[in-house]
Amino acid sequence: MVKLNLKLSGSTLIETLVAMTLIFTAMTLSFSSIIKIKKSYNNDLRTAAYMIVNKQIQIEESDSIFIGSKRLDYPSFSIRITKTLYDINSKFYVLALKAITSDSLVLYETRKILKIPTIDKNIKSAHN
Amino acid sequence: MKKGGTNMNRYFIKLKGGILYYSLIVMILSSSVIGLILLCSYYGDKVITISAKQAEIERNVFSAFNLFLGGMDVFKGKGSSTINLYGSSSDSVYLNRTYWGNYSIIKAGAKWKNKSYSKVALVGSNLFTDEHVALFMSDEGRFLSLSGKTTLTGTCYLPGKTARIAAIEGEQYIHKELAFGEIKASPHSLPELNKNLFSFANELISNGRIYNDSIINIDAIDSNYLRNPFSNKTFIVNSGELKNLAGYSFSGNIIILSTSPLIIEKSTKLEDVILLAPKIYVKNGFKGTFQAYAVQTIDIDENCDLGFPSQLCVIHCEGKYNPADSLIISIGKRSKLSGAAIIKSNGLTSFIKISSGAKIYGQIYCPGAVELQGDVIGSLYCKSFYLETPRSKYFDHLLNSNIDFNSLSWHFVGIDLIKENPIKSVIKWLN
Repeated sequence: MVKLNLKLSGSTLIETLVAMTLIFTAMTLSFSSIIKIKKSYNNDLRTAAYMIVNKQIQIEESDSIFIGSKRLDYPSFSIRITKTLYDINSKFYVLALKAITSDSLVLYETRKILKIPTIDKNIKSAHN
Repeated sequence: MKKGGTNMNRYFIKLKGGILYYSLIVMILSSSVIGLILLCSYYGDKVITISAKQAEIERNVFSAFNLFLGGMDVFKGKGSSTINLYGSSSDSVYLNRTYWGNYSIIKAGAKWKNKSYSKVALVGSNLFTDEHVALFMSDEGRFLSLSGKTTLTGTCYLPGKTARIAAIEGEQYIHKELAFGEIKASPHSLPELNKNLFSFANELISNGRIYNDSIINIDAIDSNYLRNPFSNKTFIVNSGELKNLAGYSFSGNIIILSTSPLIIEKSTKLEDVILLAPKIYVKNGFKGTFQAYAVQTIDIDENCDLGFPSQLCVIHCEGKYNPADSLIISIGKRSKLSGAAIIKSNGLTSFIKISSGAKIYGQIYCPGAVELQGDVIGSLYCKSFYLETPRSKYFDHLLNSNIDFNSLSWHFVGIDLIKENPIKSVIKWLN
């Protein structure tokens, strides 16, 4: 009759080393694959672009220059800012920000419709 | 026997069970850690994607607001509408318009999957896009006389395109110019009030309620306090036999309805509510914000502060509440009103009294006489002026009064008094 020794015993040095190697290899592989996946989707860049564009749109909203375009360069991507007349009603303009990589991959883009504040400016000057 | 015993012993090899368990635990641990890392990465990316989409629908809501405020006819005569901002249904925003007294409540909302965003705002008219009218006095065949330190600043519509200089009560007119602004000839009648201005109040007066509301009796309110946000249905509080609102506190989407004269004491707290009663009396020292609609009289005592946006409106209603023969708004000494004071009359005598030291920021419309001893920072439309001093009574004289449109705050938001102005401004965000 064969008896199985079901009693758990402490691990030897060899066992521990093998386990550590296994864990280390698994972790390395998983991390490297995650990083590869993230890089292929530009996830880090997308996150950075999202943050910067959201900050930049607030600056652009208060900018006094209307209609036109400009470009802001960052180390891994650039932001293209355009202000075009709103096609349905010319009293408004569309502020569009597009974050793109050097190989023209769009990371993040957003738009907002704003009023052309010519009337307001006239009133302000009249008040002054 | 010995040989056999040796063979038997060969089968009793000790299996190291520890290795199996150890391997299993290591596998479970490592797969859990890897799974956790993968999950973190997935959700990290998802959070960014959702945040980006949420920011986009928020921007779409504000874009829709900008279109409405900038004068685009987004509603096309209806109460609600859905607009595709950039021509695609993925950028659609739902807009809804309801009225709150003389102002509008605009709600704009957008959705993406299970994410949604909406903003609600109390909206009024942008007064600065139109002519900066300080005084409009219709030509009843009498000239306006200016005395003392009276100052008119802004465009003035005066009878005969001029004013006379007079010395009354021993005070000579001190300025060289008649007005600090353009003087134009006024027509024989006052411009008619905007037809839609009192549509909300008229419905309330005619029916005693508006659609989609909940009526409660004032006795049912616990601890004399009621707050109702504008996202809820309107509460119509019937004041019943109670005439005095001392100690009560009302805030938000509430209409207080009374069929008898209503008294607002210093201890009453009102914010953004609407009052409707035949007569409304506001007692000394009150501070608050409300829109008051009466069919006979509104009387504001001394040292009251009616904050922005407040409205004092007396509306002549045929046969309703047996109106007296005159419609009166009276603002006591050193009281302040930010908003508008308007009388709508279909032939009854109208009279607005602004006592000395009182200040009105905004718009005044009276199809009758105005007794102006205080200051008006904004616009004043009337047919004539009346002045009573201890010594005498004067008609169409202004003494030490100030009517100044140009000192009105750039942030002030008014109402469409005469005509519908497509350019709107947000008074305050309600959510």
